[in-house]
Amino acid sequence: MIEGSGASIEFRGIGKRYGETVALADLDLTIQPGEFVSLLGPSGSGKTTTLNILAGLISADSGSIMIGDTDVTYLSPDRRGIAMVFQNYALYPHMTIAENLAFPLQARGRNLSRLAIKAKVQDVADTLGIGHLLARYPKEISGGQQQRVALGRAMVRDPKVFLLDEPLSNLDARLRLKMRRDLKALHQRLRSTIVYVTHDQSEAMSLSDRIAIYQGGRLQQCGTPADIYRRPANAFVANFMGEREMNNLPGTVVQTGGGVVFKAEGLDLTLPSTLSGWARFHDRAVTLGIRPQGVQIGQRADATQCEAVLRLVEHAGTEQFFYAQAGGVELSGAAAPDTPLAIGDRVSLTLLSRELYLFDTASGAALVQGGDLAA
Amino acid sequence: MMDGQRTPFQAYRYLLPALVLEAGFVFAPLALSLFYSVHRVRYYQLGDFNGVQNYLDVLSHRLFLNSFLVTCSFSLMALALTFAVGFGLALFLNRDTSGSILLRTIVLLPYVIAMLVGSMLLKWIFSTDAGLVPLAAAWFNITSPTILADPDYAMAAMVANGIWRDSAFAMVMLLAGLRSIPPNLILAARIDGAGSFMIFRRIMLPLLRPAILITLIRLLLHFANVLTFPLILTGGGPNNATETLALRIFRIGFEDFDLGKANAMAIVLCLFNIVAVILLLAVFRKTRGGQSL
Repeated sequence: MIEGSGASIEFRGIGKRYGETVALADLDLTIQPGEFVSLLGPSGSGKTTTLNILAGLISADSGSIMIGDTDVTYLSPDRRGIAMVFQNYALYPHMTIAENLAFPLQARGRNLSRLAIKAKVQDVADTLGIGHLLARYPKEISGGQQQRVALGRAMVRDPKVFLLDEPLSNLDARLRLKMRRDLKALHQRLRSTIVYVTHDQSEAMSLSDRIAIYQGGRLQQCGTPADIYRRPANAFVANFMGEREMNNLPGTVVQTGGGVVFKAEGLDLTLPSTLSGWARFHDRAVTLGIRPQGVQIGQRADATQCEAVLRLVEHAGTEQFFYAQAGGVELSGAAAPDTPLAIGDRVSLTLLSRELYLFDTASGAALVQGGDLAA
Repeated sequence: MMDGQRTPFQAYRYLLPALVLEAGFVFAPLALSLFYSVHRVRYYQLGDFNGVQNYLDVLSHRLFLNSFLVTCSFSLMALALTFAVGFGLALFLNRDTSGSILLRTIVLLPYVIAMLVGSMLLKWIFSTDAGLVPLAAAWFNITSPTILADPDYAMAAMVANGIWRDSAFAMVMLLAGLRSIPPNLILAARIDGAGSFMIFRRIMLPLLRPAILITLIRLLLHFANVLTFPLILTGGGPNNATETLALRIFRIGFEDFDLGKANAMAIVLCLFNIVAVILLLAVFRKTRGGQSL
């Protein structure tokens, strides 16, 4: 297989603090050449700090960064072989689109002829479908077009690494989906390394080869989208991924005569025999997690069951979500769109075994999950 | 009919305070000046209407051309140097270190003390007997002339007065302009590989155009009309070498007490201002930001 034209990136023990606040704690992360990696997390989680340190816009307090075989820790931004797309695009307002695209090529040390620059600008503009806008000024084109220009200005230098800082967040929902697809196609063509900062988990899921998920200045987990979704390292990751938050039931695991029981507030859930091994977690406070998709209406053999009363129903097109009161806890679940559901109905709920997760309540660390065959 | 009907009357109501101020402090004095300029006014006594006679007298006076040229050369020199120094200071102090905040305050001092006091201070500094400048010159073995008694040196001293006082104003205006440039644009340019000079020439300078234009116009008007510098520092001398139009107006009006001619000259100076600003705008319009491909 042909190696991509991108460079590898390696963070080694990168740390950054502002006074007492830890912006980034001891980050170790390796990104493969040509990989599309999203840095995902809520604001203030350290993802943008990571990007800015990689770009050379701020310096790290400790650790080092390699791009390819070069230690870039102390190199200025222009010497790192990177290009960046800013959230607000940072187009030069007093220059035409053509001038904006040509700017990186006119920088010192690139002795390109006027003709070569013009050809390159035209080439990039045509690739992105903005060839007809070259004579206009940034304020005269739409947000989506501005976004393409910003992307073009990054592409024009053929960088080994692209840094994208929430590039789609200023676009409306439909356009965002379209640009997402275009971005993915572009990456597949260029095979450059892309580091993409976002707080939108669905964007990260749909675009990335791998996702690095942050909280409180710490990298929580790094893995493929499927991996992170199916096998979260802790409760934070589990709740951050997915359109909706998990159901989180604090309680304890107890071995009884009738089998292994999870005791939540006013609700006893008898675990199926396949999960009898979970009895080993009887000695600590645990949290049972399950995504709404794992909570279904109806009875099923050898699965966790409970009785509940419907409190709220939301239609979401392809499915409907409901909230039901079971004992002292509220469970959210999903049902097919044509299921007749009415508020106040008494229903039997099934908690699918493969969707069950057990977290340590104190640390949040994932202990075990129903999808594991080894459980 | 009561709700939200926007009538012209309402619009004028909002404009009224500004219009009253303009009328009181600009239009009325200007009209009065025009009125006096076509009358004989001696020792505050309004005399007969005498048409354009005052203008003819003023323009044909042997000292008019001199003061016109003095005003032009002073304005241009002071404008260029003050702007350059102010721009330099703005670029140098465009950071928020504790040192630069202190320096900004120091630079601003000459601007906030009274013009009169400042010019008297400089007069003392330039004076032959105890002045700091002759003393410093002597230190370097320069036999210094009597600064304010030499035509060229006196002009230089007046320009220095302008730079010393008004580069702080230029700095504040340009600093505000620099602060309005989005930091992301500078970061983007740096990542695009632009060096400091390219960022300055291709990004900062074009985006500073409005601030630069306003600064230049304000400074030009200030220097073309300033009275305090020549009146206090040089007294227009030696031998009228620093007698600006403003000082001539002052002398005709308040030393010869010929207010008719003084007002005629004031109108001439007003027209001079307008022409100067139009020229400046024309020069400015010729240059454009960015760089064509």
